[in-house]
Amino acid sequence: MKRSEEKKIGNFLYDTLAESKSASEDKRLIDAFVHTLTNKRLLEHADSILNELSQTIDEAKGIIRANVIVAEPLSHTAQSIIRSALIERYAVKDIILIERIDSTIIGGIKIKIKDEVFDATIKNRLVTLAKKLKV
Amino acid sequence: MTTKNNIIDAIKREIDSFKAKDSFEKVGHVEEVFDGIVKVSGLTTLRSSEMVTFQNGELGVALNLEEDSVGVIVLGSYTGIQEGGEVRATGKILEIGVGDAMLGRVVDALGKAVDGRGDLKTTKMYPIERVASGVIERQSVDQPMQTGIKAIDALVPIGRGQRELIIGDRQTGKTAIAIDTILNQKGQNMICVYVSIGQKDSKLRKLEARLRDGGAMDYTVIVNAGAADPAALQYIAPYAGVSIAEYFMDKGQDVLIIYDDLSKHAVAYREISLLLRRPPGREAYPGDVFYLHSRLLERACRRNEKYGGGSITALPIIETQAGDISAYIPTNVISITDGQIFLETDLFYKGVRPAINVGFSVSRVGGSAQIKAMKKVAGTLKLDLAQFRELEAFAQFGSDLDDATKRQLERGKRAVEMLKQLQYSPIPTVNQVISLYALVKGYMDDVPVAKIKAFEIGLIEYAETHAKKFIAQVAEKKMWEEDGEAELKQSIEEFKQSFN
Repeated sequence: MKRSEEKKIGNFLYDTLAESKSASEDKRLIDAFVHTLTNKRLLEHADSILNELSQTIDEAKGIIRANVIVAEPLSHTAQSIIRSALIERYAVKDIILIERIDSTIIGGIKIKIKDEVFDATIKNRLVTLAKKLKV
Repeated sequence: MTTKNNIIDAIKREIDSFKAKDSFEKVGHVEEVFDGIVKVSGLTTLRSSEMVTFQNGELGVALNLEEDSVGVIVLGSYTGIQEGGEVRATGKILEIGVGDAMLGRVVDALGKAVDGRGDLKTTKMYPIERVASGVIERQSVDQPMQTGIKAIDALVPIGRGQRELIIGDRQTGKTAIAIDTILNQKGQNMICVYVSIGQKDSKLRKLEARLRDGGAMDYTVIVNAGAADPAALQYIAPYAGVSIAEYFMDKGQDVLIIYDDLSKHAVAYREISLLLRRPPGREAYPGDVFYLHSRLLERACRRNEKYGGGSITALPIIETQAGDISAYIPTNVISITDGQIFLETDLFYKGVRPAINVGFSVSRVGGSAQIKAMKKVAGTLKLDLAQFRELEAFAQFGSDLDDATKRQLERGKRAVEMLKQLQYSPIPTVNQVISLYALVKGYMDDVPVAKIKAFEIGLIEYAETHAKKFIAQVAEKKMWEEDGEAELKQSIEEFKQSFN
């Protein structure tokens, strides 16, 4: 299944749940949804659909996620500096930083938000330098 | 030792001056890959025909912008593009590097050298898709583009800035006309661009060797998107070619561009369109296949002096199936161009080569570009040939015909014989005028048809030494004067006596 389709299903679930008025209706809707997934043999995609759903919920609340790739774990001060800078740039209420350690980037930082990538890694700079020296 | 240190110092300086720019980039993800098409999600701000780069380093162009994905064609190999892989927008419309260094080279549809003669240093970037020159910049065609082929220069003359279609079945000599025309541009102050679309690489190799032997590569660029290249490259190749031509035109030069051939171009575009799920129309071509060729050929033009002069003459080639010119692509291109040169299999096997059907071939604007001397002799020739075609059916009655008809038939046979010409042997305009003059003034009427060729060759040789005044007048003033004409008449008569 394509990611865009998972996103569509997640968005659809969000919209239907937003319209429901009581907890019992919520339960009925979710039951029906799980039932449909089982029938259509889509249960294996449930995780990613839920992931898309939680992103949609977060976005509605003004929270976005940022994948941060660094060579060594970030300190608390660094984290808060990055968070506040990103909150200002994207004009959102909060940012969830998802940190990943990857030593192949050598140093620096790479941030992925939505379909934007901020690449300030040593690896990327070396690649650009290599390209420049080639010409 | 010092040179080594110098190099190291230079590299150090380069590295010191290097400032890495870190900025936010738009990145999308590959959703599916199939047959040279990639569906990309994300990249919400991508523009139509913007370039993107894939993880394997290949370029792509955004063609279909849909609600939640983008259809991208891959300009190169699509192996190594993974599902979920990153796709970066470049923010640039597809462009290629152009420059004087391209002369004498073979490049691919992206302007990269593919002839093994080292890297190409280009000076400017030109977008591949460009709006054609407008009415204000243009001027009507008034200078001849000599092909060196008698049948074309006399009967379907081509002017600089014209679009003349070469159409015919396979193996009728379409490419041969194009090559002869390029060979004849030597010393004519013309740059040539030959765009090969979906042709065999072996054929192109032979063609390049032929041009190099003839010294024509000094002013020629070859753009190659071969049969083994992806359809995406075959689709953009003619646009890349005309961008290279525009670079030279912008410098005020006259350019000749040959698209060999646009039938294969349309097929490549059909393939892409069907894969992108655009609705098929007639012969399964997409709805915009007319615009595909009209926007390409409209870029041929003659600029006026105020806008720097220069021109692009386009010779598109179309291959027909069993002489069917009423198929979709042939009719489209016939209506876009300013005339066509129609080649026929029957004529080719009858030995009439170039196998031009002079009845169906026309040039709608070239007449005004013909030099006066040529116009004078070609007018009578056209009439002779038209009458000959009309009477040809009666030719089998032989002796039952009246004298006038017989005379016209004999003249026609000689005209057809004289228009035959060997490949790779373009004839200078002045020499064409001399032999046509001898024909239309009746000097060849009593020469046996089988001896016409020998007579013509001998006459030109003789005239070169005995009719210098005539030659000088036609070369300089584009028209003979009375004394020149008298001199030519006399030398033809003299030669005829020695010939018999």
